[in-house]
Amino acid sequence: MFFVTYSYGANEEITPEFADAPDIDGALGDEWDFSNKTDIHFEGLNGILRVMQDNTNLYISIEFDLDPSARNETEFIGILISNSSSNSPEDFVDAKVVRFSNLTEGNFAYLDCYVDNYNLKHNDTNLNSDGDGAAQMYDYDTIVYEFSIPLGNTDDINDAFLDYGDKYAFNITYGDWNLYPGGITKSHCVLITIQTPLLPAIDLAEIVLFILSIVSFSCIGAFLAIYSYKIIVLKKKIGRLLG
Amino acid sequence: MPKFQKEQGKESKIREKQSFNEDFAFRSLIITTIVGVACFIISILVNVVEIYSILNIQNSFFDLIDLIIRISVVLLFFFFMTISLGNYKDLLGKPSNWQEIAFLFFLSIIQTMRNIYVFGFTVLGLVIFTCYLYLIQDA
Repeated sequence: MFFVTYSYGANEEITPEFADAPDIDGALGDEWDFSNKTDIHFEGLNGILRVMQDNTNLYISIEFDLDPSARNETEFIGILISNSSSNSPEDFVDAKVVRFSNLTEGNFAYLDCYVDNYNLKHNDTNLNSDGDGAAQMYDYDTIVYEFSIPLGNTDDINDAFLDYGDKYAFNITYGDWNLYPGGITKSHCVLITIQTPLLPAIDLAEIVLFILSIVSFSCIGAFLAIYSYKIIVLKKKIGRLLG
Repeated sequence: MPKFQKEQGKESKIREKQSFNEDFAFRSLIITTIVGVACFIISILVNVVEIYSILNIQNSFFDLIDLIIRISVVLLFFFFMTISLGNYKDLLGKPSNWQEIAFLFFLSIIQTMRNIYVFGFTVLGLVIFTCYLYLIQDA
């Protein structure tokens, strides 16, 4: 009874686009327009995977339609993260999960888990879980899951270290949480290359303003120095006048 | 002879009083200049170095405090330097003229050029203070 019981070859290689951080609320807004869109095929289930990143987080959204009769009230999507580009089960070390406790009412929870000896451990060591996740259902057949996954080094030893410029395997897993781990019904693997952070754009106006303020403050400083010197001269003059 | 002695004593008293007034004015000049320069140094720290950005405090309350400090130091700079200049001119035996006040106004304004809110509120404060100075002066 292992969580990572099998994996499929990672066919797609995704290079995320840089974009502003979206709201992780399960609502696909304009904020995802710049994402890298890929069709994914769970076994018999088609979906759309959107991936983008900023300098600190990787953002993943999964959208798919499923006949209402095939849905589970406690369904979940888990993103298992490998510590390399290998999609062998033993290489998956981290997991971010959004699971519904009541799909009809839209109650869900985000779980920052980790994989230990092929098993998914629910309680990550870090109480302040890293990353974020949300889901929303539309018309009872379309559902959108959104995730934010921190990049670079995190304080949590159980989090995958997603280094910039490297490629990592991500396993997107769908199933029924109540039947976990046997309830895992579908999974799909992709390779995502984490892009190196963009250098902050040089704001010419800000530089000009900074230089101007340095010059201005230097001038004021010079004025105050001259003024102080004049005060000293005046003191001497007054001293001489008053004997 | 006694009359001469009396006049000499009166002159000495006037001279003492003048000396006291000048000492007082000079002490006031020194203190206000030192405080004005201190405000200018704090203004460098908050308006150019932007010490709050270095501390990386992400909090709207601290943003407000930062804004208030930025505006206050510039207004205090103008306030103390105006008094200092007034004392200085007084010791020279001349009154301050509007060009000198305008010059100090300008020196204060250019300290706020990096932030539009600091600029706006400081201009408002300076205008109010300058109007006050204008209204309280003797006709």
